Amino acid sequence: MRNLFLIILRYHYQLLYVILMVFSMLLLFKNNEYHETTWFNSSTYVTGSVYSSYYSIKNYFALRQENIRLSMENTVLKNQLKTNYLKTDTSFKAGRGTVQFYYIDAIVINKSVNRQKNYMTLNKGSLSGIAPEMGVIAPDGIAGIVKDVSPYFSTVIPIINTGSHLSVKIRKKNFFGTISWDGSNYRYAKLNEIPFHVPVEVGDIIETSGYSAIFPQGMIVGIVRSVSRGTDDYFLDIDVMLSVDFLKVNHVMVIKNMLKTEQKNLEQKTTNG
Amino acid sequence: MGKFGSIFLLSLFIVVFQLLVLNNVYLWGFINPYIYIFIILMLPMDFRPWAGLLAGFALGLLIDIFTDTIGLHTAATLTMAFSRPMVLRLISPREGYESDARPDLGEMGFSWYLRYAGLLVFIHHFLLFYLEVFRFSGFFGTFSRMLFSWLASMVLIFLIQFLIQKPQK
Repeated sequence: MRNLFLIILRYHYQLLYVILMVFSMLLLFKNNEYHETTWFNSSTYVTGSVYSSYYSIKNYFALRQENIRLSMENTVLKNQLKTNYLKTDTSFKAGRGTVQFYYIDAIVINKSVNRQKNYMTLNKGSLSGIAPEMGVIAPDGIAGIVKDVSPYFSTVIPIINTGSHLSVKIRKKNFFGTISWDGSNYRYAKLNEIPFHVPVEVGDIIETSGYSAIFPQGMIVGIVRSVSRGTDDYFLDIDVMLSVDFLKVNHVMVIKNMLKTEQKNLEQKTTNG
Repeated sequence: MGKFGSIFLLSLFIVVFQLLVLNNVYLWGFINPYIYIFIILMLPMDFRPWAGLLAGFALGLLIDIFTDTIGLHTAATLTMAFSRPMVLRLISPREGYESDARPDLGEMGFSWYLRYAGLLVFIHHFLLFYLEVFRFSGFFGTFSRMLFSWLASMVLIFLIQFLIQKPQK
């Protein structure tokens, strides 16, 4: 017994290191497996409120650029108003159909772009109607998908997270693939699963496919930057320049699909036969 | 307000600077300098090794909590604090350290400090980058990202050293 104490006393430094290291490894792996660990997340109260107040200062300096982007978006939206369209028929009515997609505006209060697993934190949560698996768009394109929510905050997995996969298609050519990120440059992502015979060209627009019931169809994701045969046997190696500059994202909108449960239930019923 | 008081104040400033300024700096899109490890570098030489471990652990955890990378910075900073006494022994001058020596650029000279900070920052960054990707495929891609970050951090550490330098007698 006495020897044991002597050994502990003698190697207390190494022992302490091993204990603390094992502890931090446990934290690391647990966090990697389940990102639901909300107890140390920035959607928790203390860190969330620190970043909120920091953001309000920082935001002040970005107001000018942000205004320009928002007014550009406004112009685009005004052009899509129903009253803009020519009424060819006297019976035409700009009626209120069923609204499928409802937008909730939010502000990014924390984010990263230089890690492998990047995240964003938004200033709104479940009390504002945000739920996991909702789409997030920035003024210039698709940003990501909501991962976790707390009452006042929510976290988002952006396209630039190595775990993110998004179903997309090539505009006007109607070939479908997925967008994923290889972890290097935050401006570019890879378009996968496009076979050799597809005539993809530099400058083609990549948009959402609308298959996942998360995003409406046809929202812009990025532009094809380069196409090559690559090392794969079946699929092209396509680089896509993302339309969203994640370094500059401030204001975003969360998309709520009102008919999602209906669609999912119906699909469930069919698969179960 | 003794020696430890001023170390504490400087540490607080460095941590705030890291979290609110440097974590938003991306040189060429991917290089993110880490300056908070300077706190471990400036611990006095006679600082108890086990207390150094605890300091490294607490510092890493604090950074992790604010960057949502729980465990990552903790492991890297802890290992860095663990290797500090060994690095100090490895590069000690032939006649050993004087009793009141501080690990300081002005006191120990440029080449000593370069070896001291360079080695420790390398250990920290190596763990940080490879634990994050957690695979050895694409070894050189990660390695070059690490080297560039190492360079950026070293430049900042030397700048801080020049800033807090006491005027020579």
